[in-house]
Amino acid sequence: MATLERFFFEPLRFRGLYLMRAAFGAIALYHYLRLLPHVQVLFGPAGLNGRDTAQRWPAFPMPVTEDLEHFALLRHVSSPALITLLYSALLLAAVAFTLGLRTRMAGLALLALHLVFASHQPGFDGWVRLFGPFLAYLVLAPSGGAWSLDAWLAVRKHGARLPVAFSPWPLRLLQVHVIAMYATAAWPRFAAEAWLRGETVLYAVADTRFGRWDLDFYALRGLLAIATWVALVLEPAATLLLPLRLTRRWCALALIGLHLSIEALADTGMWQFLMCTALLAFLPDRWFAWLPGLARVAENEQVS
Amino acid sequence: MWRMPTPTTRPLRRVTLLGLSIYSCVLLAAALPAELVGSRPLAIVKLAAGYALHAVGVTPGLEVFDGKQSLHAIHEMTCFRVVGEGAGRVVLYDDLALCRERQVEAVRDPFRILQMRSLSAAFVDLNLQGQGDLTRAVLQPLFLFSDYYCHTPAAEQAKVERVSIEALYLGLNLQDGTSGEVPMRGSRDCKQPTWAVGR
Repeated sequence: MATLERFFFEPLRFRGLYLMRAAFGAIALYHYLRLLPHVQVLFGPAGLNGRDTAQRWPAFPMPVTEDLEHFALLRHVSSPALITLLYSALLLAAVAFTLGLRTRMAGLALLALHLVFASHQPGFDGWVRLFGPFLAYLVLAPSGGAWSLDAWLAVRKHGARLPVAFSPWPLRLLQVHVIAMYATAAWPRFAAEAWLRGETVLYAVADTRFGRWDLDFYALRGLLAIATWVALVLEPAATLLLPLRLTRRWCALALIGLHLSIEALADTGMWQFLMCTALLAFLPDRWFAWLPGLARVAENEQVS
Repeated sequence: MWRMPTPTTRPLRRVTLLGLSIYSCVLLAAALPAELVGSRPLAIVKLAAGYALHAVGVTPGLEVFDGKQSLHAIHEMTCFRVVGEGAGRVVLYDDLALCRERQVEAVRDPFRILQMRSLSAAFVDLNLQGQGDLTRAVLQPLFLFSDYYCHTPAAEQAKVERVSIEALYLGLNLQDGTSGEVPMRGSRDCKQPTWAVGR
């Protein structure tokens, strides 16, 4: 009981939290800005999977993103202008969260609007389903405590820094969720034929639904088999190595390297950036001291 | 410094701790490798945890590139030409040139990728099965995209009554590394919820 209590509540100074907040905001901003030319097509009433189709074909089972069924509200919106307004609000919330302006309120608005928009197009990558809970943890944590306009305004107005040591339960939930994510994704691969035969990376990079480059990947299949087996070992190992203090930082670094390599080869939406950002939660606080503005942020604060 | 809870805050702290512990356990339970171990009790715990998380809209994790089966051939690229026919004939979408010239873009248009991901599987399924119920999950995108194209402003202006989609599928044969093309097509009467293969 006491161990659990310390795990969830013992105050922690973790400067990576502010970088994670800015990165999550930037991920949302980049993803939704990419959709700017297609807002009405993807989310509008006359668009794909839109309200007009639902009304023309009431018996057709309009698909909704799995797990986000409660948030499928855009199907009730008949005004394209309202869609544009909500989309603009989402972008504004993402900018504010990135900059740490009214951080918690901006985060809540971003979370709510993301869930509504992400529920509408099930064809997008699965990362949108994980982004909601990950963002929620950052909203619950005092992620605007430094490296933010909120912190800058606090110094300007009151001459005092916001406290940076915090009760880390939201960060702990994020860590548990990341481990659950790797367990879900990775362990079943030991019963998956293409993974065991070292073929999965070839499937991913040669298929231009994901792969970014037109190379002769068939000729590289030996190398890609090694890459497949590295991922096959590393990701399940993460479920065992991330919880251990001794190994967590190196495991997180190896996983970040893996995700960045995948990003260079394949377009999987924001999956890789999302996981890289979430993995920062496993790195030590002092590794973030090099970030401008964070080196001296907590030098006077006592943390047990 | 870590403050011990006071007598007034202790009950709240206890309840919060209980909630956090339960939520963490449910997350981990939903991620149990039950199928791998082949344990029925574990599978039941995993299923129950999955339902509980689904009820509150939380995804514990996803199988990305599940790779369940080893394949003889894989999808490389699919491109589409969508033509509306009615009072006039209007091209509503066309990226066939990308497949003919094998142009792969490192940074891609999200709509094109969404369309390729959604429609390529539907066309392959129809090519193998010959026909299909458009309410089936794999064919739903065909219904949705065709309905969307039937009612775009350009289609409305041309009084489009039928939409036909021509797909050019490029695949990689994993036995010998050769690439091949499979042209596929079909059409839909905008007033009907059915798909006509090959017309």
